Amino acid sequence: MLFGCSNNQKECIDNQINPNGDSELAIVMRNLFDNSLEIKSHIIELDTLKSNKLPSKLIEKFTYNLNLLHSAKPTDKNLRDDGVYQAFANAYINTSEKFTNNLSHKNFNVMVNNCIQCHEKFCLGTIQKINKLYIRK
Amino acid sequence: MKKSIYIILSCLIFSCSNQSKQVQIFGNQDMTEDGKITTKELLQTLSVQDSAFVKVEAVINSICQKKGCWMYVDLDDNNEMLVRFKDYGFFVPMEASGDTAIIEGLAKVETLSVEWLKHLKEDANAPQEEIDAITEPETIYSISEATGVMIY
Repeated sequence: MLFGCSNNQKECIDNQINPNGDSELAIVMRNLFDNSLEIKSHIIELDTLKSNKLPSKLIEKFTYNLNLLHSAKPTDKNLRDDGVYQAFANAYINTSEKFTNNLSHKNFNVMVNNCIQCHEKFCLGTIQKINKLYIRK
Repeated sequence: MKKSIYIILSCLIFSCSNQSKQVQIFGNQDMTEDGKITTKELLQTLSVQDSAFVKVEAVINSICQKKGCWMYVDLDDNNEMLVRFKDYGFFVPMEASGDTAIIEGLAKVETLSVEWLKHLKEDANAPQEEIDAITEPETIYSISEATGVMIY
């Protein structure tokens, strides 16, 4: 389990998707994507928007993963050196909270956009996938 | 007699182990090598059409050294092809450079931005001077959403 990742010195978690092992943060972000996809499927329904309520279990999972953005071990050990990642993460967390307090397609897309802005800086590869979260009219 | 059987068995075992290749499949687990084409055939195809859904056999030149999320494969003496994986849904072993792969997906010609080119160099642990030297977008062959990769 302690192999791969980056620089051969990371604690990586073995999994089905990545034969090199994934960092904790990579798994957190994958979970956030899955949570967001599930959220998207709920807010497509206008009733959910009207009630301004998502299933509590889903919000619980999403919030749990959001809270790990600042502590999970990253693939690149220097990620948090200059504070840029933290700023992006805070922006994403803030817009996520704004969305969960006030469910709307616009707020959801703002949240997705924040996610993409961070990836534009740190990891371009997954943007193609994140783009699929946008709610398009 | 016993000795002869032993020699024959040893030869059989040796020849088997010598020929057997460990095949690893990433992504589409139902992928087979049926219908695979060569890199020469791929280049011919892309010289007359914009894109083509292919299964192409090629040698891996380099792989993302951060997490195995992309690889360059050899097309000919002058060309490589960048392969990325659909929906970031699977990765390849970072130590597989030099191995042969069959890649399934839509092959095309695309232009990569400076940001992307720099990012790929960073992932490959290239020296900073090499990264800084990138100032122009580049047109490349790519499979940007490979659905399966077989490596042996």
